[in-house]
Amino acid sequence: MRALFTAARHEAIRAFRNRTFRIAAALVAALLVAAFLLEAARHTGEARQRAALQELVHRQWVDQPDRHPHRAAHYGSFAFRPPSPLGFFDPGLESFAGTSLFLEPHQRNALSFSEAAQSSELARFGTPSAAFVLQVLLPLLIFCMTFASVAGEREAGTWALAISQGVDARALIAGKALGTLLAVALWLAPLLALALAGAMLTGVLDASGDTLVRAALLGGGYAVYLTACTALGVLVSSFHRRAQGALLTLLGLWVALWIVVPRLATQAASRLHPTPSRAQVELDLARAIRDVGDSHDPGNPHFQELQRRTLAKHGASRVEDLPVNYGGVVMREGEKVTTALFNDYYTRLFDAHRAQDGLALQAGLFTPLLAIRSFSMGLAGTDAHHLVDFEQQAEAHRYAFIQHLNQLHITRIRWHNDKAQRVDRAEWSELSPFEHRRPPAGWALSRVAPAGLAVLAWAAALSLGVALFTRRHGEAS
Amino acid sequence: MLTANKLSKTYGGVPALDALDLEVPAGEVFCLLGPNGAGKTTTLSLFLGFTRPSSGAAYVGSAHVEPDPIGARRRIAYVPEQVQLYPHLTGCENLAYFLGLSQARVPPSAELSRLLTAAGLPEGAVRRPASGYSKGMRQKVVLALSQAKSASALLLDEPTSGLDPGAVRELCAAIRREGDRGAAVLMVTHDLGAVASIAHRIGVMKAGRLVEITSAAGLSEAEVLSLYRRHFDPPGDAAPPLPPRGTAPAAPAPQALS
Repeated sequence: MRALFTAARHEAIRAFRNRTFRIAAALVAALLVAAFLLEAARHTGEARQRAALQELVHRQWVDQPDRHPHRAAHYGSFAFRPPSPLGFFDPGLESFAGTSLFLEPHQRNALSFSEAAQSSELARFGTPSAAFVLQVLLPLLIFCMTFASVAGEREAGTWALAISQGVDARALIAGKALGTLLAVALWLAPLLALALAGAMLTGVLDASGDTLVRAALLGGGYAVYLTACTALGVLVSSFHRRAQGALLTLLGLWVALWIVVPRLATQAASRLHPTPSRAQVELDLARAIRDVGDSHDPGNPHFQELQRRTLAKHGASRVEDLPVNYGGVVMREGEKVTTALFNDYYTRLFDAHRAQDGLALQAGLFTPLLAIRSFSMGLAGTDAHHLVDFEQQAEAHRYAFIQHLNQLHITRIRWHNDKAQRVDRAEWSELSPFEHRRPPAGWALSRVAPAGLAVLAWAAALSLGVALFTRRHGEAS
Repeated sequence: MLTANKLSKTYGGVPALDALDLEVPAGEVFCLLGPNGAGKTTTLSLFLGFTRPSSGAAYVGSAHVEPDPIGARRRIAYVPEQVQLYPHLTGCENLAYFLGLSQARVPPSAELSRLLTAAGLPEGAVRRPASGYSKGMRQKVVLALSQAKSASALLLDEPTSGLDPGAVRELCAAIRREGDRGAAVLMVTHDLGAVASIAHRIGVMKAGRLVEITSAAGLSEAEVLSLYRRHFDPPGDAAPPLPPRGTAPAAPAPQALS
């Protein structure tokens, strides 16, 4: 153990006394700070704007004059997606997913108005994020720190002298990995802690228990990921006799596993589990609605049966004699039918998305980047699971909102001269605005557990590789 | 302290070391002579456990090197031919680092400095990065390490190559001190002057075999050279008989260049 810590301390000192490392670490730190500041500013602006817009649409809703409930339903409302608190760290799909949903009858709309679609700077340059720096650039820095850790010592001749002191080569190599992690942690941890504290103090991040749990899980996940990267660097270095060879191998692995494989995996996922375009979705849904039946068509068998049941329930022979407004009943039933159709369609669409995610996750067995990316987005609340959750909450709100108005139509509007009637504007304030309930950390963790396990498997396999390889080849030769 | 029992090593069927029997007791300086490829460095590697023997056994004290290389190495101080230190660490830090790896007690900084200066490292260099050290200075750090960890055995591989005469003298004195401390010293060298000045016994290796062991007591450099030539000069070009002790051979007269 003492040798392990001696080696670790030495490796950390070596890193900090290396000018190249100091410059590279300063650059990465500057990038991180820039990413935090830019994302925090964007995040704060978006959060304020969406909250203000949500309030505005509710005020506009409440300020409507007396109206027919179905007309009010077509006036509609909006559900704005509040940015996830940890989105300033890992924006994930945040910029590419729509920011709002239009809530209207007969129609389940998809998210619209993404930031990327509205911002030419974003579309042209993208945004740097702290997660990107940690996921992609930091491994490169770690490889630059570790490529010479064993091969360089063999080449310089210090390896033989170190081994001749009677230290287990495994302890020496493990110490090198630990020392590299220590050197990274010594400049990264204060930076991240400052960013977290700053985000909390400025209100970018709420200090709720849930957010802190998510932040702690993210910290753990990234620690395991960086352990895997360090173990890979040291393992490759221990395979080589020359530092230059180790550096070339690590750069090749970085290009392959961090750039090429993730692209191939996402391409393969979309080829193997294709999802329809938005135009195709709308076309398919229109066709499905036509097939299931149109509530405005008096000859439609489904609605003929509804009429029969409604008349029988109230003991009436004509819709005009019903104590309720049959037009509203038809609207209610029509909403139920189309909503079931939409739900079925969206379930299949989300299943296809999940299949794509599953395939990408399987590819995570070939590169730790995909695994940590899924894990990070999931806990930051910016992944597809959270988007689907928002859409489902918004859809549940839309359905309840429309059916409430249909109920007003049934009970407050008479059949005769239906369209000319109004309900009092006081009714509008009975409907509460959409409020997104963020899923708890446990929910998010259950969805990203496979990705977290994949990161853990990478770290365990590479650490085991270091131990096994070193036992056989860790001697001075 | 250092014991080899029928120690052999072959590489691809070619013997590099053939049934070496050797005993270097504590306090003795044993120098191994022989041409390149004679098996001298292989012998050191086998004592260090850097390579496994094909047969036979090597011991450092009671530690059998093959099953317990780590235990054996903890008793050894090793000075490779091209001794290298960590350039970003000072002499003191290098010494502390290697001591830490060897599980020996790491003394306070002042004590480390004292050990280094006692080994011959200039005082001003003790706290300077080792990147500016000469080979001789680097060797002194390892000799200080030998003393600090109270190594039972000191193994040196061609330690005098590339050193100026003054540095060789200082190194020899330091090696002698290690022997006097009680360390068994096994030195592989081509430097016959150094052998004459510090060796208690000399071993001559030829094609993986230890062909002669002789006492070095009182031998001059010329006598060591003669011993060496007896084994390695071609037949018919044998070394002249050794001159009587105490009479140095006359230097040849300088020849005018034409």
